[in-house]
Amino acid sequence: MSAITYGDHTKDVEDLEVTKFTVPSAVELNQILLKTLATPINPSDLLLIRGVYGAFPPKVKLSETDPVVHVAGNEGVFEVTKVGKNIKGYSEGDWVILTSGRLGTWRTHVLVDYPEGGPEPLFKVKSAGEGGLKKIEGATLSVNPPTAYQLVHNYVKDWNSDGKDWIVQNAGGSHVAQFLTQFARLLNVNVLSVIRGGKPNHDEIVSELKLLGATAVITEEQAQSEQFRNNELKSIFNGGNVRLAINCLGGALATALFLMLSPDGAMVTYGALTNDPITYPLRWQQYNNLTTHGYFLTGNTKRNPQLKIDTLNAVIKLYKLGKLQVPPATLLEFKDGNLLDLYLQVIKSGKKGIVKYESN
Amino acid sequence: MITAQAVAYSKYGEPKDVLFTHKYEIDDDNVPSDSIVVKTLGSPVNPSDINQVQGVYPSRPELTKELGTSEPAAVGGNEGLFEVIKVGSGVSQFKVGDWCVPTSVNFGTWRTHALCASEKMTKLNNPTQSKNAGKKHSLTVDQGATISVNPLTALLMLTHYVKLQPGKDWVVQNGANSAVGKFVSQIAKILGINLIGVVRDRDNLQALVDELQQEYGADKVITEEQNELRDFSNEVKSWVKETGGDVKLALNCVGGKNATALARKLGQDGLMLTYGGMSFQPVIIPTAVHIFKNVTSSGFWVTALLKNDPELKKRSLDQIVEWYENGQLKVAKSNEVKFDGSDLAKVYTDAVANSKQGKQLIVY
Ligand SMILES: NC(=O)c1ccc[n+]([C@@H]2O[C@H](COP(=O)([O-])OP(=O)(O)OC[C@H]3O[C@@H](n4cnc5c(N)ncnc54)[C@H](OP(=O)(O)O)[C@@H]3O)[C@@H](O)[C@H]2O)c1
Ligand SMILES: NC(=O)c1ccc[n+]([C@@H]2O[C@H](COP(=O)([O-])OP(=O)(O)OC[C@H]3O[C@@H](n4cnc5c(N)ncnc54)[C@H](OP(=O)(O)O)[C@@H]3O)[C@@H](O)[C@H]2O)c1
Repeated sequence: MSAITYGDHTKDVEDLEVTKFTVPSAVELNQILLKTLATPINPSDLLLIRGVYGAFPPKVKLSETDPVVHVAGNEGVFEVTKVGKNIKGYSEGDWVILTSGRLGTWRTHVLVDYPEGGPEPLFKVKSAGEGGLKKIEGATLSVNPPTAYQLVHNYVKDWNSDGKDWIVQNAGGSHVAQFLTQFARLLNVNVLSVIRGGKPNHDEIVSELKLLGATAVITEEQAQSEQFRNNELKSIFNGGNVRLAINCLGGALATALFLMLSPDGAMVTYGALTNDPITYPLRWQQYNNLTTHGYFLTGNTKRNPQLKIDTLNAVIKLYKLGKLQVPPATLLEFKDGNLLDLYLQVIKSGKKGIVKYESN
Repeated sequence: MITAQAVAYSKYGEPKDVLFTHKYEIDDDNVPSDSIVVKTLGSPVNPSDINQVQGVYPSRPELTKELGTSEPAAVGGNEGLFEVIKVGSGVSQFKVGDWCVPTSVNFGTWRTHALCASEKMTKLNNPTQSKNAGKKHSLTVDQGATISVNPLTALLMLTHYVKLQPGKDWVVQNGANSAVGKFVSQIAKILGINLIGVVRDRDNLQALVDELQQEYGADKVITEEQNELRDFSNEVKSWVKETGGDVKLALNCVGGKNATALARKLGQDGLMLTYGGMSFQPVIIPTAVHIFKNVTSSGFWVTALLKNDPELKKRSLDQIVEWYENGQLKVAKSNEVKFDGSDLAKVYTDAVANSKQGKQLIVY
């Protein structure tokens, strides 16, 4: 059994290590043993390791006998392999995700303590033998799809299905943005995605985003141009109602979105990739009655755990109906060899990646 | 026949360049049955009145030839206090001597007299009526003439959005020395809400602090420098801890760094309302304040809020009148300028020029 771990002095992904551990052949009454099916590599996983979020989360026990360590990774899908006698509701072969990222997910196995009366550590995404959910869908289920789903549904409750409502978003190529596009299109809401221009494969990126449902894709430069906003953009919106702006960047690119909003619209910030604050003309806000909010999945879940469960169920249902797909990502398979090398390969590529544990 | 004067403009621009005095006749012997004739007791110069003349305010009166101007024109001013001097035969809700204020904005209050449909005015108690009703105080001209904008703005910002627990919760506001700010302090006091006011530093700061605390009931008054100092937030935290509540509402009429520091003072799930932009700088909110503190930032505009809700307007107006009449609320004092019968446009352009030294009220 292997896990990708880090210690107190870790500064960056170079300091990650592989820690071997053992799992018991039989579990205790209140334990469940999971084997990993797939995990993604998210930007926040790396930010955490780099100390951007401040203190590391508490260390975890890999097994009864092995040392306590930090395990990397926050998301993944697992298969139940052994169920303690006291635990109800799970059988061998069920697929689950962890409800908290604390245990770490970049590891071949997880031994979960199931405290009676304590918080539910697992969420079942599919029963043994049931079809309809792929490994990559399960692996990326717990963060980006619920984020995108709640961004679409929590701020505007009365979307019109007449095809005239719009969402505008920056970092339009992110996974969150691509999920968001799909959820919006299911409501017949239009999406304008702003992306960084100047890439050699720009046209290809644009057609991929449109294929997933984006109504229009423009560059950051265009979004920031008043000339463009007053002319081309007006004809793109074609009198429609821009009700929601979704900002993941901050700075001038947030301002640009804000200026696209129709009266009574709202801008929601869920990321800060440029580190710049949110800035907007004050009278514009006042006279157009515009509101700005922040979005934080973890905060929402803490406040109302049921909301996350309902959201996950809604997302799983869409997957099972074939109405949702995981945005393009690099897929790597772990068979044997060095688990860390595989993760580093994805991290170094700078691309979105998902590791499937084929040996499990 | 009454010869009335109004301060009008037929194109947008700086008030001193575009305002002119227009004289016209009101036939007070033949008042239409649904109308009344009023004379003006007082009307102020508000920041939004100036913006309206400049053409940079989104709510504005139509330019018309109604008053007999050669070019289509509008009369300046949005609030004022009037006394009824003639009543049309079909009007029952007014009699001569009643006091009233315009029911809606864009009435054009910079004038000596007006002839208007009776529903364009809302009645207020005049001094005799207040006295007969056994009230402790009656409205002054200053109070009546400035009742529609600033007191309502302060009241609605404090009561319409966030539930504040008396004795516990805090409101933080900048521009605490503005007319609106002084109403906010007083109304917060009446409602039992703790308040921090931010003011610009000045030579005689202590005098201003004393005035805002003693006259207007602000709990704490701090300077812009203190507001922006990261270390100072511990001080604020200790005040808040003592009352066991939270900073739930921030009222911003300045913008820029001042507004950023205001937003940082908000607790979890707090709301910042921006109602003015005295510094002409944008709103700047750190993303962490939005994401991790779940702070919301909204605009406040009394005109838009009340336009479609006359019921709310009536209720709010009644509340302010009640507080004035029982002596709980003081008007943020204006500089009164008496109209001496000379050139009315000049009186208002001078008042616009002097408005940086405090609110200007023209009394007739
Ligand atoms: N608030 C919450 O609860 C919550 C939940 C989930 C995710 N998030 C946040 O959402 C963000 C996106 O997550 P993800 O997993 O969807 O990311 P992702 O798929 O890795 O995509 C990141 C995107 O950001 C763009 N980008 C990065 N830096 C940029 C910059 N300086 N200027 C312009 N564009 C930039 C990239 O553009 P290129 O393609 O041009 O490189 C890429 O499209 C992250 O910041 C994450 O922390 C927040
Ligand atoms: N949204 C609405 O519905 C609504 C309704 C009413 C009023 N308002 C707005 O509220 C604001 C105040 O109105 P008011 O009639 O109360 O005004 P006021 O009595 O004329 O007071 C103006 C205040 O602004 C301060 N100020 C001016 N320039 C400043 C700067 N650069 N930085 C910081 N502070 C500055 C002054 O501070 P000093 O004392 O240091 O000079 C003074 O306290 C205006 O912007 C007005 O348009 C909005």
